[in-house]
Amino acid sequence: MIKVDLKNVSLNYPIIGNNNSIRRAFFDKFKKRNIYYNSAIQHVTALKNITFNLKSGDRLGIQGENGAGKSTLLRVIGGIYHPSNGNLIVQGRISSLLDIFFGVNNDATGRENILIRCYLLNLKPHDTYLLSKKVIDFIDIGKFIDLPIKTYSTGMKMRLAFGISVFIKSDILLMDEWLSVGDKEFVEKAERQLLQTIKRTGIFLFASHNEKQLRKLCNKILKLEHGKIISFKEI
Amino acid sequence: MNYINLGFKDFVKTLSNPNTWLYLGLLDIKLKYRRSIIGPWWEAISIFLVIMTLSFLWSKIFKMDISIYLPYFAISYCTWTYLSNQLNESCEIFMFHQNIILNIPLNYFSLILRLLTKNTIVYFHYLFVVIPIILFYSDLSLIALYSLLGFFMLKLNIIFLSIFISVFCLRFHDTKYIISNLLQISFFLTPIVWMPGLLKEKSWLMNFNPIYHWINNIREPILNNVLPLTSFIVSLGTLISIALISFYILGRVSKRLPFWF
Repeated sequence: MIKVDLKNVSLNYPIIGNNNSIRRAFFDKFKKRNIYYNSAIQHVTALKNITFNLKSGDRLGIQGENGAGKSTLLRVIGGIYHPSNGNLIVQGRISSLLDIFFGVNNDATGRENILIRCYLLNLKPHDTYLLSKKVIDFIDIGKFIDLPIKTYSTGMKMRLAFGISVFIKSDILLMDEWLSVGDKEFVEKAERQLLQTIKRTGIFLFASHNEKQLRKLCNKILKLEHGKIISFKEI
Repeated sequence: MNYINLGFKDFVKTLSNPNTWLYLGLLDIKLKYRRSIIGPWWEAISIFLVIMTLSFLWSKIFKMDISIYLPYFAISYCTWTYLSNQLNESCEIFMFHQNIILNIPLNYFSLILRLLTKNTIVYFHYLFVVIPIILFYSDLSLIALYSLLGFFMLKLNIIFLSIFISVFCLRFHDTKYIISNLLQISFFLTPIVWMPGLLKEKSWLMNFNPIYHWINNIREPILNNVLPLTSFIVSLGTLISIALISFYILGRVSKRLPFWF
């Protein structure tokens, strides 16, 4: 069964500053009684007591200002950050579109970049083959696919990265706001493809501060402010 | 115990998914040399030049026969280069792959093995220089096959040492300067340029240098047809202890590591 369950999830983000040297860590050991002990590590509370659950078919939009904790929340659900407190249960195969350019190598060709992503995600050879075929069809950049992607225009790079990310099969799709780059024609094509992908996936989570876009793609909206939930409603 | 278990799981998962490092390591090397004509063979050429010129110089300084000194220096130097490249590069490996670590849950060992794959391929290119030298100067026996085991031992040792180094370098940026200094010193402290026999009655001091034993495991069977039992036992000891320590450290920090960038 596909589900995402969060119960009182909090996240304290340690800030590793400039004064965090070996010397500091070493001497702090001897200063245990000192009230400044451990002052080297400051924490920022990025998420506080987040509770909600999602089941198959839910499309959640996460709304909030910059620094409200949208991306952090997606990273917690994606299994990259581990919550400091609370319970998190995620069942299903996750695919994240947090940074669609991750793993992309500028010296590698388009085709190789598709493979890099597949290997990083540890896909089976057959899935890899099918995926690269689909992506190459979708991005439609002709012979450029065999050239290093540093020769690509920004739009082409965007298409490639988007193509690789959106065709990977998953039960839970995490997406951070990004759809602002690229030409108009491509954005429309991408949105169509994205809607199809969303229909296939069980649960969709989308972080954005663009309310119009959220309403278009989601059926539930969560508002975050300073890491806390302000409202959670269905639309 | 729990932490060691976590680190061990990371290692086992990495090994069982060779896709995540083997191909990517191969691709790294391909991309590095894409625009050069002879590519990684430059590595072989450069090691050839170093070995040849320095062997002639140092065999004169140490008053040794070149037929003894050249194969000795060739094996020692290219093994050392392999080891120090791996350890030096692992200082920044997590920083370098930051965008991967922050985007998908990942086995940290896969980054280390990816780097090791790249360095091992470079090492294989060295062998095209070293093997002819060995064949020309020394009488090989079946015992020489033991050095394959010795190489495997060295490899395992530096895998675990690399994860240890890379975690510390990410948390404390000073560590990478410490590592590069230590490596520089150990190049001169380890019998690579000179032979342990030169220490005369003090040669037992070498037993405290693990790098000597790691290299000796490869060197002795080929050059002297001897099974280096002490070196084998010491390497096994370092392997077990370094592995346990690095499993513990990785298990302990793996949940916090993404916050450290």
